[in-house]
Amino acid sequence: MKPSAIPGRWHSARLLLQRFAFVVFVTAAFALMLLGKADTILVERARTVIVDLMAPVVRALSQPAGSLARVADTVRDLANLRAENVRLRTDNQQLLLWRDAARRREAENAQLHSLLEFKPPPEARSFAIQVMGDTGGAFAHALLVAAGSHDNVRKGMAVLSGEGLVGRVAQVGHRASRVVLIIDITSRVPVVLENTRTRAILAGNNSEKPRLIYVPAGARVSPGDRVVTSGHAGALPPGIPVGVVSSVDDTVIRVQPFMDRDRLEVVRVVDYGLAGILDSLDDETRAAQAETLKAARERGRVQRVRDTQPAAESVQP
Amino acid sequence: MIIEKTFWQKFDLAVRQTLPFVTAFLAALMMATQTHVPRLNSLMPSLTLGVVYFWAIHRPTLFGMGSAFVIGLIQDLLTGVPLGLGTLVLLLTRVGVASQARFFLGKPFAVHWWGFGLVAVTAALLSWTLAAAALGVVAPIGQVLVSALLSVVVFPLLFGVCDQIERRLLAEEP
Repeated sequence: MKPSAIPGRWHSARLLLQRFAFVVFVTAAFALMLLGKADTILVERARTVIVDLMAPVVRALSQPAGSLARVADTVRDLANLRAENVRLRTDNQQLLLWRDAARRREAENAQLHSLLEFKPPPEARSFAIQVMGDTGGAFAHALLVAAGSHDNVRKGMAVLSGEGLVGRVAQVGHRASRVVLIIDITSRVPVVLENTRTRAILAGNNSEKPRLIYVPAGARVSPGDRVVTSGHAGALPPGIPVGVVSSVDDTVIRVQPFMDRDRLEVVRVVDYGLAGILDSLDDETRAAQAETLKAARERGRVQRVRDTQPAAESVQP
Repeated sequence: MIIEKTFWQKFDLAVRQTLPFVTAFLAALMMATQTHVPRLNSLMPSLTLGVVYFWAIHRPTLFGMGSAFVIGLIQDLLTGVPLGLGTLVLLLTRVGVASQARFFLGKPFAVHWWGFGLVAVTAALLSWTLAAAALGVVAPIGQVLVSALLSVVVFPLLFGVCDQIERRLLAEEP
């Protein structure tokens, strides 16, 4: 054997091993992609474990950004103090009118309920939790919140901010959970237009403005229409504010959500006692939903109202 | 004369050698933090891509394919994107860039930046295609490209940090 043959062979073997390693890793990456589609439960568990493990570090890393944001907010608030004061006075005037209207309607409602022997739904239980991370990006939009199964958070619970619906709890760890935002591409929320009671599905598309899909033919949709949850599909109760229709054209109806994602520090997780996830619905409900979706698809295109100006908000007590 | 290293010297060396992985790991975690900067969370730049790019050129032996695979996997699990997406993109970036390391070594920063621009756009388009295949729906391409552009914008900062780590802490290592 020549003396130079051993290093040469060793080098060849090493190269072969490196090439083989590349193939193994690439195959493993593709296998992960297939696994993500095939075994969602396993992947969900893995995500839950990682979120739970990383939560303290992510929380610590978020602290400086949170502190800076609070300082910036304070400076901005001080600069806008006068304008803010004028706005609040105007708001207060309007809200006083609304309060009187609400009191009258509350009394009227109570009378009608007693006449109809109406059984109100059970009261929702809610608790505030801190947002500790935002796993944003071009492909997924979710929040990490500092509460998990230890704090009675369950999958499917609604997550609200002061402005409206934020999203739904998708994965629950022991001390941390992931909340999928309504703008995420996988999010589908059954909604209704508040004034016309037109049903639709709010479909996230990873942009700031999700779309309304499955709008019935002939429905009148205008910019400025308020969008609230419809309560269908057994996931969320009706009437939670979601957003406002921002634009309507031939192919797309876009909604501007009420929630301000960049300012979310504390959110409210609400347990309405509903099933929360489609998998837990009974077969009859699922079949009914499938029928509704099929009918909506068959009804074809939507006749939309093209208003260029949003409907002016007015107080009509 | 061969000087035998003490336990603490060996430990110190081992810790230093994990620094490329640790920086990439921290970059993955930082991508999951809340920035409170308007619109930044929906257009988060890929910090891990910049870090992987740097180490693939400067310390490919300390940041191998396995490291890129693990960082990608953690990133996928943490951010909720389809599993395997970040894993494959970071793995291919590590392999592709390391194969061209000789071209970049010793070149001015502008060349590194230009190279990263190409890598960021390629990675964005690959991610977009893989995400469309995995999710069955197409994400807005504009957002993906803006995110890639932001990755290019923050690259000098990442380069500076990694460069300092390499000069100060890894200078004596192989």
